[in-house]
Amino acid sequence: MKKPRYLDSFIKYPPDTSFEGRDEDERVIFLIRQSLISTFWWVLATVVLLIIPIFLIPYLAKLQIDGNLVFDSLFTLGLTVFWYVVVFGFAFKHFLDWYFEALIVTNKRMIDIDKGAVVISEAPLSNIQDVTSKIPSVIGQIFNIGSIIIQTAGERDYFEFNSVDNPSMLRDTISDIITNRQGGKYANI
Amino acid sequence: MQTYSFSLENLIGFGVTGIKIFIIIMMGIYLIYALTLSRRLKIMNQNLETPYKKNFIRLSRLHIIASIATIIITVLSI
Repeated sequence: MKKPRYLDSFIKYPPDTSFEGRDEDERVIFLIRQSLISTFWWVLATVVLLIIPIFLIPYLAKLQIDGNLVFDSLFTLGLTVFWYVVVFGFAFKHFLDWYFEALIVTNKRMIDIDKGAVVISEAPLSNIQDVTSKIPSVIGQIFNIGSIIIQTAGERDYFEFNSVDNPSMLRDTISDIITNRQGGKYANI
Repeated sequence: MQTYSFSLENLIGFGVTGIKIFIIIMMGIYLIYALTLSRRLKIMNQNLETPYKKNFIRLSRLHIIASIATIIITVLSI
């Protein structure tokens, strides 16, 4: 089964995607996110947190002292709902952090959105000097996940984007865009 | 003059009420977190606009409403 496109790590010409400060003649060529595998730990934590009340709440609901229930059913209900709201908040926050941590390449520049859109840096494509891919860990080699490092001539020496699917392919694609940009292919998109 | 007897039952009652008040305070703190997350989402959507912008906003509002609902339910149980 093919996963939904919005969950892809690499989206070429993403539809209806824009960013603050986009010029009218600027078009998003592609968008890169971290691999879905990098979300594993918080997805697992969410599943565990969802399971806990199944065991805990019946115990709390039946907790008695001197034959009297300690917590009434309304309080137990409130506590259960609160637990699931917190679990939802946990998963939602991590999903947003993953979803909004992206590397955008347009026909003019490259924008690195980090830490849930708190840190944003950009560099014109003409400043990009070198693109490197690396797969440093054994797990990365198993799943073909790694980093791409883009060196620029600007104030910020390099952009590093970690945990991306198929970093070699991405390096090649970014290099092609920069080469084509210099040749004028993407200049007027 | 009114006298108070500190029986085990009373102590347990105070303890349970204390736990309930503590949890309501936690819920209040969580509501602040939910509101902050909503504000942060607004900034995220500004910086990167995607087709799912409205869905995220709806989920965020639902999150806040659910947080308020849990406080109401728990306050009613006291």
